[in-house]
Amino acid sequence: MQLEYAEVVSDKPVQRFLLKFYLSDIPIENLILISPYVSNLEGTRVTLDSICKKAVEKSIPFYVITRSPQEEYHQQAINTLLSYDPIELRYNESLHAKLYLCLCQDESQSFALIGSANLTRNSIEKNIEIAMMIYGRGRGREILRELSHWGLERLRTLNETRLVKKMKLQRR
Amino acid sequence: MDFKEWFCLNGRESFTIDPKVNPDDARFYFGREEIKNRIKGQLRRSFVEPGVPKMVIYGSFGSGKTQTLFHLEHYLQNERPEACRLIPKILHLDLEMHSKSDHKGWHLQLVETLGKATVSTWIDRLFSHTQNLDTELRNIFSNINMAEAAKNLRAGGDIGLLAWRWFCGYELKPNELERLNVTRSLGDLGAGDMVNALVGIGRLAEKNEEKLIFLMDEAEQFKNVKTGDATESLHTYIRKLSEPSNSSVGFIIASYALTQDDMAELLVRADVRTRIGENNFVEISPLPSIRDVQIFLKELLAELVEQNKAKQKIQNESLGVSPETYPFTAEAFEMLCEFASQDTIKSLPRNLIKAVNECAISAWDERKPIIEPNIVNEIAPLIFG
Repeated sequence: MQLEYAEVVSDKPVQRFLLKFYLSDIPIENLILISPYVSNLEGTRVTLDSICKKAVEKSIPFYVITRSPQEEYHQQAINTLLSYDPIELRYNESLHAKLYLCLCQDESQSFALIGSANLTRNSIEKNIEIAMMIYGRGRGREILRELSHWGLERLRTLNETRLVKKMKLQRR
Repeated sequence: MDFKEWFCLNGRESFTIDPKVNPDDARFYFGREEIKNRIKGQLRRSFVEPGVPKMVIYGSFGSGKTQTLFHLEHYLQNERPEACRLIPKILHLDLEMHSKSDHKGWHLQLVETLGKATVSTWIDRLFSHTQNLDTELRNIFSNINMAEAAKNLRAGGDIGLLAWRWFCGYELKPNELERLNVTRSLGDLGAGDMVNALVGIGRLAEKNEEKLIFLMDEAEQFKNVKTGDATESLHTYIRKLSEPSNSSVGFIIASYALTQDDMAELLVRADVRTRIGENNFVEISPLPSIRDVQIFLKELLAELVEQNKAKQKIQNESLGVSPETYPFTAEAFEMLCEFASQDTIKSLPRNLIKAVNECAISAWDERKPIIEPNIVNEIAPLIFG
């Protein structure tokens, strides 16, 4: 009778996560995207720009942790992120983890994706990726809490994690 | 130096408390003496024989309902009320309901949370103390089928598993019922029958010197149930469980709700309310005044910061802040309290903890040893604005 709290996603996992975030109409407390490489996701169903716009529109605090850009596509994505207020951007050069978290006011609606996929167009259209989607119910809730502690606190406060851009948020 | 050392944190990585991640955090219940004392008082009274806690707590998201449940477990385990003569056997359960969930789903979640191994061990222990297990089990369950199924739980392999499936409320095939020597499946007679089986298991726990108490979180999930018959069966289940005749299975249910009327209707029908008792519906409200916020934050900092280390740091680095508000300056602390209490709907423990943490991360980013007003001014509007 227990509802599933985790699910293996092998078909475009990052797109699945982003679509779920983008289409949901429930109050979201935080969006956290952690990926060594980031692109603008142009040509995919949910672009980085549209995610940023939703964060602005709904006043959702949005945290991004990535490596400092070495490639043009990565720099373009960083430029997009830098142009929006409710985004905090940090760099960590040792980052290899890929974790995407959407934390909702109602914890049972929260979800996360953890797996191999970077936040890039290649990971959606070209690469073979595998990931787990975790939902905020049953045992999944504890896992989400641990992941959010790691992403929102532990990783952000590591010595080698560097703040690049502070968040500014309109009063809700 | 890392974040933890920077702010003299007491064996933790951040200012966050979460008993689901760190079970030791269950001991904390900051700044809400009135609610804490009220609930504990109700709990103490509920154990006066023949009694067991039956309580519903409610509040908004982030008000501390889950923390309350974990804290009450900590209280019952470590400061057992005098009236509670048995050892509390406390089980946590996050309720999950969907549109067609009925009493069978709820019963299954409760029984599975308890687990076959626990119940089998109780029966084994009973067997080692009694002359006649059959008679003992019939007295405990007051029902021949339940006694037979319970007896079969001692058996290993297939039969033991079948007996457990029977107690979980699964529909068994005729040949499976025959193997268990029972005449029907547990669910055949409806919700009341399932409650009787659970209460029987509670009496079995008592024979083993334990008192069964379920802590059920997320009761707003009952609102997901859309089918009339399913709602009625769930209502019957909670009504029967709330009966005064049930003195062996306790429960504390936590639900998101801004008012009592906002809860799932089956929890607040008159027949359930009167059985549980109006006093046992407790609101976990936001912190009502600036004074409450100050107390909450001071108690939080006192526990999460290693006081001797902080005092030494304040002295060595001439930080000019009081250990009581460290790592905040007095002015920054007052400013945070004012921000937090501007809108009582937002003065929630979850928001306060988040604000402290974010202010500390912001100071850490700038490698500042203390949190000054400009940081609070930047962070607090993001959370309380």
